[in-house]
Amino acid sequence: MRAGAAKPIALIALAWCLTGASAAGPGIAVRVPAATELPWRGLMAAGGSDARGGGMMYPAPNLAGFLVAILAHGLVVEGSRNAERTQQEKAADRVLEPYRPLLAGWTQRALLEAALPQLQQPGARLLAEGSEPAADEWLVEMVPGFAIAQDHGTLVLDGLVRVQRPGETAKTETVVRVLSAPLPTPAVAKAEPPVATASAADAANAAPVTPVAAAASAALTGSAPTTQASVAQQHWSADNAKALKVETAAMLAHAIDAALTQLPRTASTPAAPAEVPFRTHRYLMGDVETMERGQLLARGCDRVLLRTLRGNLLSAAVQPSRDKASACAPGYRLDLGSARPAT
Amino acid sequence: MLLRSASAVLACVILLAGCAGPVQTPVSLSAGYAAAKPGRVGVAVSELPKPDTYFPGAGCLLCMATASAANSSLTSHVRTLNADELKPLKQDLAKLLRDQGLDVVVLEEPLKMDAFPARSGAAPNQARQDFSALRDKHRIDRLLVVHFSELGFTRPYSAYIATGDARATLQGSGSLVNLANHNLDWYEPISVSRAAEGKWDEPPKYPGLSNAYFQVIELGMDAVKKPFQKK
Repeated sequence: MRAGAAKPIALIALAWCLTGASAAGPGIAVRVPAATELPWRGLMAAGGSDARGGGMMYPAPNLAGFLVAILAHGLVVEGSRNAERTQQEKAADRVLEPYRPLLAGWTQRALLEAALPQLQQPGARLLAEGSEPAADEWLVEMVPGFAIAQDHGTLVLDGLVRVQRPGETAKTETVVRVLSAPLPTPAVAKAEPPVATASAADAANAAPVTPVAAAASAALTGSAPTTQASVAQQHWSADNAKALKVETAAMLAHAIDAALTQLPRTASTPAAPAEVPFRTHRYLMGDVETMERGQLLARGCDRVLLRTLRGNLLSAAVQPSRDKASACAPGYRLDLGSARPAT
Repeated sequence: MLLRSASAVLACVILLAGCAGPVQTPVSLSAGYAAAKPGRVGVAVSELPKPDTYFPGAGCLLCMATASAANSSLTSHVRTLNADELKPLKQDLAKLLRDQGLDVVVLEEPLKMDAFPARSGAAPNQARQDFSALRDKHRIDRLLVVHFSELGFTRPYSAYIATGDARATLQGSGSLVNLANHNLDWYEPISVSRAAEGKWDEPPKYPGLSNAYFQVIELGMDAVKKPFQKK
């Protein structure tokens, strides 16, 4: 090719690229958080502690002494509760010990780089440090935090997603929680005694597992919970925590997708679709079934996206759909509506 | 003087001990219950309680007033909630029993538990109230009755001081009564409570606690239905 012909061809190619990009819609620029390290914590057990009340005799010679006694009582109780809460949080964080050496290199940037190619929204890019998005680009800022359940079976992403529409200065914030799906049964059943394996095999036909049933099963199988926890830990830790890194990237991509597609059309439009009623939805936290009151926004084969009473988004695994005939999206790839955020 | 004081103390102790009845312990449903053809079973639920706030430990009058005032916003919110989510329980229980081949009739009217007289001299594992009127009226041999006594939010107090966060609560009991002799074929106390996920103190709508409210309703219904589900 002559050197003189290369320049027009390059210009034509560049024009074609730009035309192609604008036809696909505005792009998405994702800003890397300032903090390098990814925050992790141990998930505290659900239900919370049941503090006890009881009567109290106040030694008080007069009204002033009585009031001082009440104030002192209040301070002692508050101090005791704060100390207990701190102790519980520290105890919960011990679940992270096996993973800390493996997560040292799993930074915010590494996570985003792994997540962006998985976005259902095409055209996403990482914003270089110190730069601003293009005029027609959406700006997404993500502040993620991850947690591991005490049984090691579930990963939880709690993320604050801030989105700025092209041409606007205000940012819309959405809190998104994503729960990982229960680990595949064969990964857990191999290490369980026969009675537990039979229960796992019948799980598809059984009534939904409730916390009562799960606790009873754990009590019957004795060492089963410890075994299940160590199998789950091995699953996440193996091969330099490959499964954990893959899963967290998929969860982050899903959180960004969910936040973008559930944004109101304009900054002043209410986020929650008024016509969708609030119901109590059951979902899975590991093998335990729990509930959330919310509006059903999207559903896949084995996952739902809800808007909770707090107005946050919750994506959680559910019992797989038994309707084999109807098409449904597996895993995190729910039908979230429009593939492009509304402008 | 000393003898008079001692007598007064003894009289108080006897009176208070007499007032305290033994607590009914759970009675498990026998494994082959449905196969034993227990006869026609009536399914009933008591009048649903109005959601409210409860402050155990705030025993004195001034303590109760202080706790009520400190949690007035929470009380206002709980009174906007209702117990409608419990309404399907009766039909769900009836279906579970019919699926096991039992002859079931649903008593549509909520039971007013106060209307049933107490059974004097009720032995352990016997119903404390007399439901004979229902046997004659509905021609039933057994009565499956679920009674919810408390629904709403509870916050523990030690006199004037809150000792814990508010939690959602559902209290009650489920009984399967043999109306021929008022023996309990099954009895299960219902005591479910849940804390809010994260912060609880989020006036005016308390979304975290409200979510816990709906959770305890579902968990309570699960607990009642579990013994009657096919294994």
